[in-house]
Amino acid sequence: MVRVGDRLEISWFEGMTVGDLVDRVPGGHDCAAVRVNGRIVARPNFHRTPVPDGARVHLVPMIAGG
Amino acid sequence: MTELQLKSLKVHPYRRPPIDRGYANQSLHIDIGSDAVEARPVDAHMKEVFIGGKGFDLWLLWHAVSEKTRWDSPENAICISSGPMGGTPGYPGSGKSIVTTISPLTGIPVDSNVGGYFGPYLKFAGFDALCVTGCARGEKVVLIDGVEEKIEIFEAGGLADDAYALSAALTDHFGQGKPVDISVVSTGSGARHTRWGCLNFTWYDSKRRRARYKQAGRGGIGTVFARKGIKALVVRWNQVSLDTNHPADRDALRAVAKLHSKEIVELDPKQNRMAKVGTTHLVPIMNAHDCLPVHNFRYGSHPGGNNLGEETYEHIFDPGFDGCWRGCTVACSHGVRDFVPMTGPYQGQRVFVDGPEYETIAGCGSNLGIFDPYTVLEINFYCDAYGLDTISVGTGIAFVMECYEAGLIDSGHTDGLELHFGNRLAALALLHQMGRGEGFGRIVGQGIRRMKQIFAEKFGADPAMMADIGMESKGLEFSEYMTKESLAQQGGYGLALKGPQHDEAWLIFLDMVHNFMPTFDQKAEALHWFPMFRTWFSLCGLCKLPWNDIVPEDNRETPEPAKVVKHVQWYAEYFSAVTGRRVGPDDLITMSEKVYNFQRVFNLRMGGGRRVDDAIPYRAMGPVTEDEYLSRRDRYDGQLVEVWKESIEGLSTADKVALLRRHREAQYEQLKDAVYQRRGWTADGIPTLATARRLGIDFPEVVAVLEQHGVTE
Repeated sequence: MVRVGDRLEISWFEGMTVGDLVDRVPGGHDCAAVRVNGRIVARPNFHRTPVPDGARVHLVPMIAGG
Repeated sequence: MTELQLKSLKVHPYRRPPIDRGYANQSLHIDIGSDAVEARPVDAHMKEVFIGGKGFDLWLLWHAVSEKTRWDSPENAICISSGPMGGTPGYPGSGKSIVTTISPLTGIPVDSNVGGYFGPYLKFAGFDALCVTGCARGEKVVLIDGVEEKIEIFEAGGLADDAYALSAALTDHFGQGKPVDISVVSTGSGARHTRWGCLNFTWYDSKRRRARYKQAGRGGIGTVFARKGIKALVVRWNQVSLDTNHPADRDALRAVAKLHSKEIVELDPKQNRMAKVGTTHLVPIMNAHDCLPVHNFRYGSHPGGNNLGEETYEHIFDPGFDGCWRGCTVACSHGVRDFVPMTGPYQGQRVFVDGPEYETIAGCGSNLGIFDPYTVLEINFYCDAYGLDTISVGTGIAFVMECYEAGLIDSGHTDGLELHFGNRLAALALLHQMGRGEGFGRIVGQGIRRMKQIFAEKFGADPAMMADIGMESKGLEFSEYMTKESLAQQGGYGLALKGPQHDEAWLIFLDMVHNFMPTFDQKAEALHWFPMFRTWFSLCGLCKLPWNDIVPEDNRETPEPAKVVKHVQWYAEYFSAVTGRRVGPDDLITMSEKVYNFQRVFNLRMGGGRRVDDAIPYRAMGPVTEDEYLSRRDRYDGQLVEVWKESIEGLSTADKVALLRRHREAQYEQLKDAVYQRRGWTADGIPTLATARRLGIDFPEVVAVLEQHGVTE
């Protein structure tokens, strides 16, 4: 199981990437980065970054910062 | 109390007015040449139209100067103001000061939004804004003492030249045992020798028992400060609570402040972690998105980029509370304890470094091909000590390095410095030259616009190549984001009033990543709304980070998630609670429009402010060299074929560079047309009379400037 934010839980599967995860999260594609267990993963790396079982994930929207 | 050589020249007693709904209702005018001191009223009309902060600054500056004023003219003014909400301790990001002057780089007004205690203390001491004109013969220190209700001007002698030692000594001297009551504004030796001088604003770090620093960096305000012979401005104030600002509705203020503060405490640890890592989280994100400037904005990523990100600096920063204003829960102003520089006057000594933030890392790190976090720290430290803007220093040296590598200049021109990308000792040596006013550093410190002229005239360098790769617009160096793939952000930089700084608009991700604005009209709308809302923070004495760097978890379910409307509503409630003026979100935009258009007319008055002035170098739009093109060939080939419907079979790389350039330059001009129309400006980029009338800024002097420039409709 992967916990996304404070409320959502997504079933984990072997080989799951951050890209697979955000496909299953409402609004996941609106974020430029996520934190997986506290570590930043930026969108271009979503599909090559594995998500470990039991991970805590938070979306980092980065909509108009800077 | 430290013994300093300060000879009192004038003491001006005054009666401190009560603060009413965020305003002291008077401004302070000091002629540093004659020591004249005068308080002038701030009337209801000034508050209605200009709000405070940058608005007040610009209005005072407008009346101080004429169209003939240059940056070093005695009548040029340095204006500092916070704003009606400035000094509110419970609302995150509410301690900002905004500084304006006529810039030595651009010749037009520049504004800089800076943390530290000065602006709020100035207001609580009795003045919404400070306007300093004149030029001293020697060097002077000005004390604005709100506790003892006096303004005192001193002749300064024998004071330290670098900002760190100077501010520490003045804080100790004037603090009378309570250093937290003091805020100092100063610059350093580099400001005397370059056009990149910044101002250091202090806040007192009680836990670490030292004066800490934030910088009003952009546009060479420190250079003007040094030219005026101001050694330091010191303000003293001794009490800050939610009531000090005397808000119109204390309960409403407390309620909205609590909401925003609580949300940041909850969400920042999950999102940006700014209370731990400042803005260093941006480095790996920009690097992954090909937006981190590398080698003078040639490339947007580098394998070494992640060495400069949060995972490194979190371990280097000294942990603790780092808010540049009291009670700010963003608390992003981190620093490094016991750093030991390897060069310069502090070589081998333990020092405290304030920073680095993202811009300094990108400008003085990746953009110079330097991926060693400690060298970035050292450049950061010496820029602050010398009073130099890290952004202009970074972008300026990056330009020099590319000129050197391209053979436009050589070691005969650089005093033997081998300014290859990545040569960190050469970069530091050049920085020390700027600090001392020696050698090649004196030329570099004139800024990219003047370097281009000097390199062409004296060294025979190719002007066309330098025009393409010199990352300046209006005379100001670009801040540190790659814009090649975001047309909207090209506009965000090129159409920014003071020059290419991202504080007006940061649209890269909305445009490039999220594709929220595919049409020119949508880009133009964004280049209207975002600069206006961002301007509003600088009218009110606020930091914009709490608005959209930390985003509510339900934000995507709102009608316009890009605007973070929940927070915009909170800001409207905040303004209403402090000032008693009942406003909604749309009113905030109108407030900014008045000041924004006034500033554009001010630019026009000073010789800028037209379409031609919004030009940007081609490096900001696309690949200048064949190497750049080939480094992202699939992207550019794909765009030529799919977006522009070009047949590229048989074309050389040089042909494709030229073809892409034609399209990208044309679309930037189209963007200008769309934005000017949306803003109510002429095709030449000047506000129309109808726009001035709609906004209530059709004062006779404004109309006169417009008419002098052929605007009669």
